[in-house]
Amino acid sequence: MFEDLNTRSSIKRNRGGWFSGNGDLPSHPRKCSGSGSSHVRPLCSCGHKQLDTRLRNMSDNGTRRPVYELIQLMASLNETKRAILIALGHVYPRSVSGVQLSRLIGYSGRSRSLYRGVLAHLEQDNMILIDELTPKLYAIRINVEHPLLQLLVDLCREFGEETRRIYLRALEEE
Amino acid sequence: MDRLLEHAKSLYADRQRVALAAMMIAFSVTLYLFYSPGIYAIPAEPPIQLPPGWVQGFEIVYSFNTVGFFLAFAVMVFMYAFWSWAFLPTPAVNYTSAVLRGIFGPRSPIAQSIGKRFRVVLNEKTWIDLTCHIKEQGSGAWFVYKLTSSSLRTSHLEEIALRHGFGTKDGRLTTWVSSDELHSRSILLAKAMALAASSA
Repeated sequence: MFEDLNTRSSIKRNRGGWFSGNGDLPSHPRKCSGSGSSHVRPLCSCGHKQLDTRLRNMSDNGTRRPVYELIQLMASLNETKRAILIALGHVYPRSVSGVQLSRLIGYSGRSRSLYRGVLAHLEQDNMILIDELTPKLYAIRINVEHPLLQLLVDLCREFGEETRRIYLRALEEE
Repeated sequence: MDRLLEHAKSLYADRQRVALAAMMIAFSVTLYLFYSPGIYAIPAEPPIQLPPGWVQGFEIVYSFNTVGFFLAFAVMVFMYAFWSWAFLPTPAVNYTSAVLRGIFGPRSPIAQSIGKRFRVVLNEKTWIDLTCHIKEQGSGAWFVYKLTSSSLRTSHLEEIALRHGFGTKDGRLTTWVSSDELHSRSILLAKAMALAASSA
């Protein structure tokens, strides 16, 4: 019984690790699932345990659906939109300006065309929120009220600590 | 961008250039035609005492010739606007219908109508409308599509829209997609519509 639970949780852990590895995160989750549970860093094992239980609950209730839907949603978007959502999901409590965002996602065009095109479309689809601070300065953040993006933000917060640090460092240098 | 769309883009740019050149020629020809036969001045008193030269100039400008010329020019502009609103270059049409045909199979009819619109009929009551914009104003992106579903009667429309990343308008799911998303987003839209139909 106990054995069975253990293997199940390691499968779940792998699934979680694979999933968060989707958004080109560093090797953090892989490191954890590969090593035994005896010398895992405390923060990490804690985070994984939380997700393990949540995923188990989901599968027990037949509600792993959001994960599937999130994958499907991300797969249906093009590179620019995907990069925007991943970046905004990692920096979540923070909002970024258009110039910062175009730097974060490696966008070569002008940020004005980003606003009028991709960002406007994402906002219409309720995936991001744009606050107008001044006529020229906008604060862009991910919509955490969105059922799927909420999951994305949760996953980023649990497994994406290193990636978040990379993004935040990129935001700092002015 | 797809090869067909690249082709369509260059074709469109070429045609735009041809249209501009044709319009310049037509402009000068109409200018000649309308002002050479003689001036038919609209009878009017010059407002104040002016030197005779000024009065003559005033009569040329304020004449039936000018009215006719402006009408002709407006017709030209209107024709250009209609041309760019109504027609999509053939390679882009091929791309769009190939993508749609690939997803929805040969059994769902795809109708193309004037104004760069397509309609994919999924079954008797549901369909997807597509409108193509050759060049999006503002962002300058080429070949952007607007997808609209048929009107869906379900109480969970908002939720379904959110869970597939669509917006809603008048009981329809709507979204803007770029040309490289057309394939995957149409699948998702069809799935969302099927979900809405089954939850109604």
